[in-house]
Amino acid sequence: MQKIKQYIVIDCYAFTVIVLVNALLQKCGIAKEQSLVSSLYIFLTSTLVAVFMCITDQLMGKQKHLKRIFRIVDVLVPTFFMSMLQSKFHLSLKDLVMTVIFSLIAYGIVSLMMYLSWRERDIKLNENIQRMRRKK
Amino acid sequence: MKFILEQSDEWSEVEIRVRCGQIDKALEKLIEQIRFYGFSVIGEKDGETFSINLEQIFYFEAVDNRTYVYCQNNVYACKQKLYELEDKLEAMNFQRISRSCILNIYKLISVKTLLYGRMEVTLENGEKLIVSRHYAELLKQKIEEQGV
Repeated sequence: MQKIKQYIVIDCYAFTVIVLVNALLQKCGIAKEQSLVSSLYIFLTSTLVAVFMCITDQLMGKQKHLKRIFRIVDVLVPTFFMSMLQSKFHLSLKDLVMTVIFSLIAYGIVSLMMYLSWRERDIKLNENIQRMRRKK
Repeated sequence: MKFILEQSDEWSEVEIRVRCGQIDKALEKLIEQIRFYGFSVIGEKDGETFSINLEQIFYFEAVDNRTYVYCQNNVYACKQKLYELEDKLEAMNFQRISRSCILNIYKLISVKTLLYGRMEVTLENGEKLIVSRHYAELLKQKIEEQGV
């Protein structure tokens, strides 16, 4: 259950980050204006990424280095596929490069946020350990 | 709760008997403590056999089909298999942290989450152990339960 929650959190973080960065890029005139359908595409993409990550975790328990590569593939494949679908398979090279860079930045931010939330739980766990040791 | 202590030279062995209706959280903890301080494991070192109290044990590790008991300064070989120990120690302060290791969480100093859900734990003697992703969540839950 805890693991499912973790993937849902990844999904939520990813969606929020993409929407926020996208809004920022729109404001700067770099990205095109997003419609409601685009938001749904973003949600579908972030959900697919979370599902792919879950599958990677299940299949590659111990292969650390291979897992690192597959994590990036997990981000790029759904992003590429959904971008193609959204553009009805007429994605320009410039847009493709933008999408890849954009999704990797989002991946980096989400990873950082996940790491920070783990560290926060570590602090609580370490407080529990100290409490446990005092009780002993 | 009534506490009765009977002392006599008649008895050579200590016997603890708990009489209760329902087992609540506090009683469950007390039973766990009694088990923890009462149980011991037989370990061998340099041809000698030792009875090791659980409170002395830092962790158990299985290496090449043999089980070893790690204490502050000594390592003992143990005849019991890791899965047998896991069954016995499940209700106590011990937690499986990888396929080859069972940890005494009372010996923990700190924990740190690593990438991909693994953890690094630091023990009283400064030793660091890695908790596999599979067992990390169970360890976290156990620490949270114990620290409440």
